[in-house]
Amino acid sequence: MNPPALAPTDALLDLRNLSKRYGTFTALDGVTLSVEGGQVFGLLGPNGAGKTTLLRILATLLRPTGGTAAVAGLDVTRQPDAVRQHIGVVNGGMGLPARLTGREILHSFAGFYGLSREQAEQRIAELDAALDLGRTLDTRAGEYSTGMRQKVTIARAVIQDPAVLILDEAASGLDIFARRALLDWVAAARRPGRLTLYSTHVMSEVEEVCDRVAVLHGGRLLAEGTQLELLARTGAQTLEQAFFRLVEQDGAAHAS
Amino acid sequence: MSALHVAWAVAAKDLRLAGRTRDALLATAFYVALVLLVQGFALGAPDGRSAGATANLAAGAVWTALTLASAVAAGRAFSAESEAGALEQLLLYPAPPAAIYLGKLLGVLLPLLLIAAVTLPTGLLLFGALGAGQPLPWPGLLGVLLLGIFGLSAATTFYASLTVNLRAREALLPALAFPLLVPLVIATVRITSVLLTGGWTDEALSWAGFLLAFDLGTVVLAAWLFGYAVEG
Repeated sequence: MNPPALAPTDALLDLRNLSKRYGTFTALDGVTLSVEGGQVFGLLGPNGAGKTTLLRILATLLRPTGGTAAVAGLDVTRQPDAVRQHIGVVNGGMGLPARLTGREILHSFAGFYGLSREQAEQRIAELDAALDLGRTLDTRAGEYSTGMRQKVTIARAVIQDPAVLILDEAASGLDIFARRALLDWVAAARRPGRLTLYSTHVMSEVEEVCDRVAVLHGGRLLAEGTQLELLARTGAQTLEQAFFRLVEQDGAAHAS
Repeated sequence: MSALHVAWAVAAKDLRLAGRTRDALLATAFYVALVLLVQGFALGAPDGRSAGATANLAAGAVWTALTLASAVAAGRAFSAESEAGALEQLLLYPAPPAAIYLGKLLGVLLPLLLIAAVTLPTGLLLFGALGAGQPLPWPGLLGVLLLGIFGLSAATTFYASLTVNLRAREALLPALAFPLLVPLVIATVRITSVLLTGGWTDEALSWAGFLLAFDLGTVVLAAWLFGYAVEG
């Protein structure tokens, strides 16, 4: 499903002064960011940094209290239904119907995006090859291991080949094999005109799969760039060091 | 992709799930049978009752059972989604919330119609309103069945979406829905009773008009508010 009227080099994500407040608590504080397709873009930050709030706004599950956000050229507040056509979301809160097989679940979701039965079957075969769905397709979800569950959850999220794939702590809880398979798939899924947003608090995952990284802390965007740019900017040797220096600089700036 | 396609896709998924598990269908059917049986014992044999009283009792018993069953069916439709942790997925379907509501409504309506199609003749037979010699207006009864079950499904589906995230949802769903369903229950009971005794009279027609308006009002309002309800 191609994004509407966007060139491959256009930004698939465009945030302008995006904010979200709950009463007096600020979960997201004036984030401005523009991200092009053809890459895996990391959102890095500790728990409570605002990553999930940002991703839920992009997924049209939350309304911002300030600023604007556009996904694939579509405004998340004014065109939520159209945005949902062009995104896939994987997060910890999305289960699978226990009594349906992987194939039935994927066919159901293909139906939501207007794929015919033949198109869906072809897409499932592509995803089987890419994600090694194997016996998950003909096994009921209630009998899945965590790794099998994650594979089908990802296949479900990309069934319509979305312009923007949102992975929120997608490797959380996976065993070492399932995590390896996920990271390999994310790295291989990089394509022009498609963007993967990879949100995590695990530095090694970002180092391995992300082309560019945004560092969030306390709802603020502290820095954005390639890993080399972040290292150069902070004078750090590792991404973890860079992260701590950015947080210290932010703390000092706010204290003064 | 039109909203109606998404609505049908949601309904197809729910119906496939209902067909696979059958627990919602069995739980609802069992509930209806139990309510009819209890009422049958409570009200006793129809000997000596006038035709009008028999028709009133039978209509009241059948629609009481179906009203209670509609809450069970709608509650199960959403709790299955909630138990699978898939409720948030509803909000990510690429269609307006109204389309998703219509899909969920169809997923509740069709199994409930199946149950109602068995309950109505069974209830009428059990309470002595069937086979008393007079011809029964089956097309009229079918019409009131469709209108009544549609209204019950429309209202309980909406209230089930409202209460699905609450801990006391089983208690809150009927507590919220039933007061608002009173006009619908009165209308269905009156039409059924009038149809059983006198056919399509002016009274039956006016109640049918009211029922139609109630159904339309409920479905329009629920479709409009559904997005707010599931967002919590």
